[in-house]
Amino acid sequence: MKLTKDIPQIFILTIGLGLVVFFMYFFRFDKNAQLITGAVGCIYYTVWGIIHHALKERLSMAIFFEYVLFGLVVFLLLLLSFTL
Amino acid sequence: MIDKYQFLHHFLPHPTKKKRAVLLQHGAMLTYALVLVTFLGIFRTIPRVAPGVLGYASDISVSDLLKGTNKIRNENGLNSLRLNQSLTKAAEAKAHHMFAHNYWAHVAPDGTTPWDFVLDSNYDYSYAGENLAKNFDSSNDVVKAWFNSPSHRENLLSTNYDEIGFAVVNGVLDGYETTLVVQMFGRPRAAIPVASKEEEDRILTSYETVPTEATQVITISPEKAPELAFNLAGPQEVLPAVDVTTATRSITLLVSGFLFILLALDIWYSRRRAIPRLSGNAFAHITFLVMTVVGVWFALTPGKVL
Repeated sequence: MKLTKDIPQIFILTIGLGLVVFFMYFFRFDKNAQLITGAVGCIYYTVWGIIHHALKERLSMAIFFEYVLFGLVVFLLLLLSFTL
Repeated sequence: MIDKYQFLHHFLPHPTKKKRAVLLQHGAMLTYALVLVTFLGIFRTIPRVAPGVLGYASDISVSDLLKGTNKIRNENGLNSLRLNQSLTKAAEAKAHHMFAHNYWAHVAPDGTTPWDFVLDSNYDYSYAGENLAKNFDSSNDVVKAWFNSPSHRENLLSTNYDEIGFAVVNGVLDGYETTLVVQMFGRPRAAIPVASKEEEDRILTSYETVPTEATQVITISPEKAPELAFNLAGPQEVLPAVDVTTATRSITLLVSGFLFILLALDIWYSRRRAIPRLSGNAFAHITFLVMTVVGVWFALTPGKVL
């Protein structure tokens, strides 16, 4: 039951991240565009996580910071890869 | 059993505290962010304090670039371009000018245009064009990148050109050891025959005879080929102390792999011990991480074209 309720949200996440990967490949010869795509992906994931937990009425400061920090770490990984 | 070894909760969730593994908690995530910022700082500082330590490994040759360019033209029903010594000289001059003045652009900071190099090499043109590339590791990747960029493809597939010149020059640009590739296209203004096959072979042969130093001066005897007496920077393999592409990919894979293992352990152990926790969705974190690695690994191509 719980999993069924999550499916639409997981679907939205997968589609969004799939688009990010697609655009990263699409812009494979333009590193600036790739980095912007990656940054949009990180923001999208962070916002998705916050909304996902808010809709489940489980959003707390700890969960909020978990998504912000996770998005930040992944963005820094992308920054390291795309700007050097 | 595990509870006897508390250090394991660095890697596994805590059943009584109902928390994630210590290495997945906020403090640890903040530490990873700081470590990555430190790496970024180091990679930005090294080129300034020790130019040439960081770089891009490459093995690019003029003959492969010529073959690749003409193969693409032929596949699109166009004639092959013949290697011309004046355009080669212009390309060499442009590449050396970029290293000497530390820039990467079609127009130099002092206003010198690509056409100045072409005219200085005594090539009077009716049409001319220039493609640039840097930080690539193979000739094939360079040609592929030009072909995939609309503006560069326009040059590659233009019917306005009959001749071509290449320069593949190694040096230090912005503190990074790299290889610059310059491709000059042209059609002579006067109705003179385009470069002959013999001239092309002579240029290619002269590249093959370049010794292994970073930059060599080739002087061909005036009796044999007076027009070829110019500086030739032969294409040699570049092997920097630290290859930037390999280093960044390794760091990305290492950090992502570490987080992936911790999150997988979190899911497995939480289910096994039925630990209820108020934390983020570990499955979502893993999905995000995997897609990031896929993006970096397959979409990140080394090199830039201009």
